[in-house]
Amino acid sequence: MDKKESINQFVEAAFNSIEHIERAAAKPFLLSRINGRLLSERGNRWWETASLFIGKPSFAIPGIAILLFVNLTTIAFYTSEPSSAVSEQSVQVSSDEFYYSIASIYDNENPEP
Amino acid sequence: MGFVAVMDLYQNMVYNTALGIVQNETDADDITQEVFVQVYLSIGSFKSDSKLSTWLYRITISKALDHNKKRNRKKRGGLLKSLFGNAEIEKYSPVEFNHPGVQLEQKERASELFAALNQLPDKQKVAFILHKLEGQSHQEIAEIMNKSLYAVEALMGRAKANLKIRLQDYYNKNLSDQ
Repeated sequence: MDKKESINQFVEAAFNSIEHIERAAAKPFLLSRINGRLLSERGNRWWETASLFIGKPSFAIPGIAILLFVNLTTIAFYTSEPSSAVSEQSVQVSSDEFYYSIASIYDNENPEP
Repeated sequence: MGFVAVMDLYQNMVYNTALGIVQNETDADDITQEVFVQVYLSIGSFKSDSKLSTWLYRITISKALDHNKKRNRKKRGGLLKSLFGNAEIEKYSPVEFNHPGVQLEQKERASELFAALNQLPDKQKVAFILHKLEGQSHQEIAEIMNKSLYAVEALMGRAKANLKIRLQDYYNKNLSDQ
């Protein structure tokens, strides 16, 4: 038998090898796996919906404007100088409240001549 | 017909078609799940003027071909990385695929046929799989692939001719090596 004939026989055999092929069966518990996938898809969809909503210009631009306004207001509030009178008074009150003086026995019993 | 009934009826059809295209059992299982998730989510878009099986075949084929494209892109990416020395060289060797429905004594020849089938253009590959693995007639394939009967017959003719050429090359090389 020459080589060409042999090759043709192999080719024929390869074509015939799937003549009586049976349908492959899906792996068991497919429904459970599909349920799991559907649950995760729903989770992803919630995030997708939320991110799409946040990303909309009609929501994003006013949102950023409000954030900037709150930040600037806060900075302006804390950096503004308080009036000097109020400041001195408050310092005085604080120092009086926290004045630390203990009368020791030497102060009372050993008066200077 | 409820979703569970549809799944029970068509799961093997979807799995077998996906398996023929991607030639990997884990990937075919993933695609089967994806198909039924899509069916569950978009059953409203199904037009009853075509058969449910035709719709399922279309979804399966589309997902399986997408999967193959992604896999090929990854392979090309890996090859580029290895060329620039960023990654370990991944040697591409096509994994031998054994379809579980093939008779034991035919496994070797069938594996060679599937390897050749994997090198065909997508349309020829799909037409051949639907005909040989799923037993669909040319008319049904024409409906699934949205082509004329004549076009499907031409596709099948080209698929067989290309398979023959590839198999001849393979045996010519391998028989001379022995």
